[in-house]
Formats: sequence, C-alpha cells, structure tokens
Amino acid sequence: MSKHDLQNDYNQIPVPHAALQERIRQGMEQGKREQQHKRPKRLRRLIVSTGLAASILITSTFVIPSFATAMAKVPLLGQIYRPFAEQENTGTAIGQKQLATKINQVASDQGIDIQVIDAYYDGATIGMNLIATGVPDVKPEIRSGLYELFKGDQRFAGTETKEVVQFKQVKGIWQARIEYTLGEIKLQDKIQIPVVLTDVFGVHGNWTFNVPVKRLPVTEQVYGTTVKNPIYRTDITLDRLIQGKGSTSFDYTTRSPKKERAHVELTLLDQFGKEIIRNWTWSTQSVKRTKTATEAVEQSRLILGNYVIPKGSYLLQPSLRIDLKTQSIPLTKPLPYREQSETHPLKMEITSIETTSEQVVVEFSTNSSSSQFDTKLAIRNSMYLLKGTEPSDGQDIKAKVTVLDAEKQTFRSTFQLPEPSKHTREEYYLETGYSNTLVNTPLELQPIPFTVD
Amino acid sequence: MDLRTEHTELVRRAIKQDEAAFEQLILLHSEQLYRTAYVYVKNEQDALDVVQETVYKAFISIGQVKEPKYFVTWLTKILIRNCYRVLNQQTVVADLIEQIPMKDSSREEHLDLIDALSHLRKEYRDVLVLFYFHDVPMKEIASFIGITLNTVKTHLKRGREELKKQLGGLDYVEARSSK
Repeated sequence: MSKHDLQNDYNQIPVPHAALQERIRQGMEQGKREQQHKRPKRLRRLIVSTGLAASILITSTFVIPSFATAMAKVPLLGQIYRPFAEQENTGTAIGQKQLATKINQVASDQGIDIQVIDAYYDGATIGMNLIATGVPDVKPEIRSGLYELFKGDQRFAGTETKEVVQFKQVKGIWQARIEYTLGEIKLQDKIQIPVVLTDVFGVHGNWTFNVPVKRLPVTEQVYGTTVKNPIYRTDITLDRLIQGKGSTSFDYTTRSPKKERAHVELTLLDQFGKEIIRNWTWSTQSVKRTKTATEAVEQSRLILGNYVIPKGSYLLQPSLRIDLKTQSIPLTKPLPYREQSETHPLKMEITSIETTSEQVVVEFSTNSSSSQFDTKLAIRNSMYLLKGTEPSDGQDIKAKVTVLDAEKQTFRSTFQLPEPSKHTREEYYLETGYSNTLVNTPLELQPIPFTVD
Repeated sequence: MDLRTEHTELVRRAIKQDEAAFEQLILLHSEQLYRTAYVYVKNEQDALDVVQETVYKAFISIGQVKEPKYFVTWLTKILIRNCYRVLNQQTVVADLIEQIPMKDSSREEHLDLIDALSHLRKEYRDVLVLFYFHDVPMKEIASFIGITLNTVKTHLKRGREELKKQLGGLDYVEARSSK
C-alpha cells in the first residue's frame, strides 16, 4: 500500500465546491462577528465618565485578553469587562475566591512529576490545577499534555473526555488547568475523578490520579418557561439555571421541525432589553439531540464561565438560524422554480433560465429586506453554475449579478462558460445559496423572561 | 516568488489580520480540509460543519501561529479536534446515522478507505491522515501530537498493517487495481 494509492482514493472524495466555499465564508463571518463583539463599542461611551487615562487604553481596537483581564480589576470598568474576559474559565473566579479544594497528589513517570494542587466542582463545571516539575527543555508547541477524565466510567462512554491541556510557565513553575463541563450526566456532590495524563511535554508516559472533588454550594432554579413561535414552528423552553460560585449555566430545549436543522443562540439581556452577554459558540454545549417523527428536540447548555448572575429580572433573547440542505437545480427544471423553507419567511423564485453555447443567464427574485448591495454580494457568493451532475466534477462558476428592479428585488445572474458548449442545459446545473442565506439571516424570537432569586 | 515563499508570505499577512490573505489560504487548503473532515465524520453535512467551525476558530486565533511553516499543521490540528467533537455528538445522537448520505455510487468507491480508517485506533488514524493526506513531516507530527518520532513511525507502521487487515487482508494496491 503506497502513499500514492491512499492519496488517490482520498482525492476521489467528491467536494461540494459551492457549499464548501459558502461554509468558509460563513466561518469567516462568524469570526468577524466574534471579533466585533470584542471591539470596545460600548466602551467608547465609558470614556466620558472614566477620564483620560482610561480613554488612552480604550482606544485600542482590540480587547486583548491580558488587557481585558487587567481592566477587570479596575472598579467600574471591571463590571463591564468581566463578561468579556476569560469568559469560559470558571477556574479564574474560583481561584480568585480561593474556593478550590487543596489536593496534594503527585504522579511521577519518565522523570517528570505532575502534581494536582487543587480541584473544584462548580455548577456544571469540574476543574483542577496542575503543576509539573522535571520538565525537559522543549519547543513551545509541545508544552502540553494529553489527558483523559473519567476513564473506564461507562456513563461517559461516547462523550468527549479526552483533551489537550496547555502548560504555561508562571514565575518559573509549569502550570496547567483542566476544565470540563458536564453534559446530561448527573454526578454526586462528592466524587473521585479518575484522571490519566499520557503524553506530557512530548514524553510518553502515564500519570494517574484519583482526584476527590466536592461540589461547591449551588443554586438551581427550575423555570420551564416556553416561548412558542407558530410561524417558525420552533419552541424554546428555558428549563433551569445553575448558579455556581464562579459560573452561571442555562439549560434550554429547542423543538423545531425535523426537516430543518435549527440552531439557537441566546443573548442575555437586562430587564429593559440592554445586552449583557452575547452567546459565543464555544459557550454552548449540545447535551442531547433526539428526533420524533416530526420534530427535532435539542437540549443545550449555555455556560457563562467566570460570571455569576446577580439577583434580578432578565431576558434571554433567542436567535434562530435555520440550516437547509443546499439544492442542486438542473437547468432543465420547469419554471418558475421556488425555494422556501417551511418556516423561514425568506423565499427565492427563479423565473427564467436562458442558455447559449457561451453563457447561462438566470433571472430570479427574492423577498430579502437586505440592501441591494448585500443581496447582490450574497447572490454572487452563493449561486453557482457547475459542470456535470451532482456531485460536482468541475469548478464552480461565479456570476455577474445585475439588479433588474430594485423595488421588486429582481436580479439577473450571468455565468460565462469556461469553454463553449453545444449542450449547455444538459452539461451544467445550478446550486443556489438559498439555504446559506437562510442560515445567515437569524430570526429573533420572543425573549424569555426570568428572575434570579 | 516560488509557491512555498508565496504561501509563507500569505501566512505572515494572515497572522497580521489580513482577511484577504487568510481567505486565500483557506481556499488553497479547502478541498483538503473538507476531504479530511469527510474521512472522519463520513457525511457531507457534518464535514461542512467541521470545516466551517475550523475556519471560524482559525480566523479568531490565527495570531497564535508563531512560525508560518507550521500553519498547515496548526490548521489540521483544529480540524481534527473539531472532527472528534462531531464524532462524539454522533455517538450521542444515534439516529444521526440515518442522515449519512451514501446513496450515490460515486461515493461508495471510497467507503472502503473511509470505513477502514474509521475502524483504526485514534492514534494510528491521526498519524496516517496527517502523513498521507496533509504531507506533514513525521518530525512535525511528533511535535503536533506530543509523541516521539519513534512512536510516530510505530503508529504509521501499525496503522498501515491495521488498514491492510481492514481492507480484507489483501495487498491494497492489488485490490484496487483489480477493480
């Protein structure tokens, strides 16, 4: 078996070019949005009240973590910054409040000693801090370790309990923090967690621990509040809130039509609708997904690490993103051809497909409320002409988009063929970006009110 | 400027938050990213999800890349971790299996390779994928996974042997050429 043979098979895996490009674009958009959240939009307002010294710092275009952490220690500014700084890390708050249980377990192998110095179980998060000694001089990229939690515990079979932990040198001591968020598995308040590290600083070995942890006092509030949206046929239920000493978690359930993959993102607002924390992708864990004959039911957990929600009244604003399968449309398709999801109000209709030996011209309309520029861009990036039959065996061809009637939202996409064809209609097909446009057009649902006692 | 220098230059620009350079880089590697994701998760939608999540994570953390020559390894690392995340979800959601689109015959040709890889031990599979499909040198694989060079060689050897067994005990080249 040669490298060449394996690569040949690998290279024959068909690539859905149009969908792939669109997903890349979406990934980048997601990243840009993320960075925009970190930009000090709201901080500019603060400049007025906190003086020149703060303003000099705040004019930086990025909130870098170290800066954010430093600012979190400043009274007043800290209140605003806290949700943005080290949001994932429950251990930060637990460390500051000195609530972790001291542990003194050492395991030695291959000349490296690993010590678990403390551990905590807060809300739905388990964590522990490690230090390492006898560490070889290694490159930065292998200053890490592979660990597995709950090894051999069948309740965790199939869940992700293996991860990489990064070591950092602080004042000459190699330190690392393991943090794990529990899914649907319920543990006792006092437990022993088996932990195995196998590859540390590039050295293969075995460092085994049995770490005792005791759950910190926790407040759970059960809500069961459901907001229903009959138009989008999606119900979201706020099941409960788990408030630990260094974290706040929300459990919620989404019910949506089985055919449409629905993703819900939550934003925490105060009772007047002012944003407190916007949900970030990595803060949400899909706990369980099941399907009935007609609907998909997804239980999720939003974890806000290093954030303890104060008493008061709040709103959770759900945004719904609907993800449909990309459609391939033969150029011989009877017209008009419509695409519309069962629930999303956006629709697209192709009214005409003209072909010559050199080009394909598609006329269509949408009911998008976006600006012409946005729509043109979205169309250019999401409607493709492809050669062959599905799956594509050629490069996708981008269109030149012209606006036919701005008011009626009608457009024309002109695709120039790479080479003349005598059978354009049979040799090419279209892929529309309707499904991608949908997923990029989130629908804001009714906010869910709740009170923290 | 040769291709390698051009690639390095693109990575340097991307590290400095040049979005166009980042996009160009991702597009350059996009087919490879998708195919590797497909090898792990075995269906189009999940593979696309993995690529999207990888692009997103790479975009927000590109500043972490210290040496442009490690960009591909770094990106593949993110991809593989996302694949395992999806695989774990697939295990929890057993009925996702019904969504795996295996209808068109063109894809069936690759099932033997993909299935065989998916039955390998994780350690062997990662090493094989990095070495064979992403052309990552063994030394770099060792750094990336955090194992020794000798372990990489052992994993490659055992992985290949396992793969042969999975593919029916025949010599893979012969089996392929006789189709």
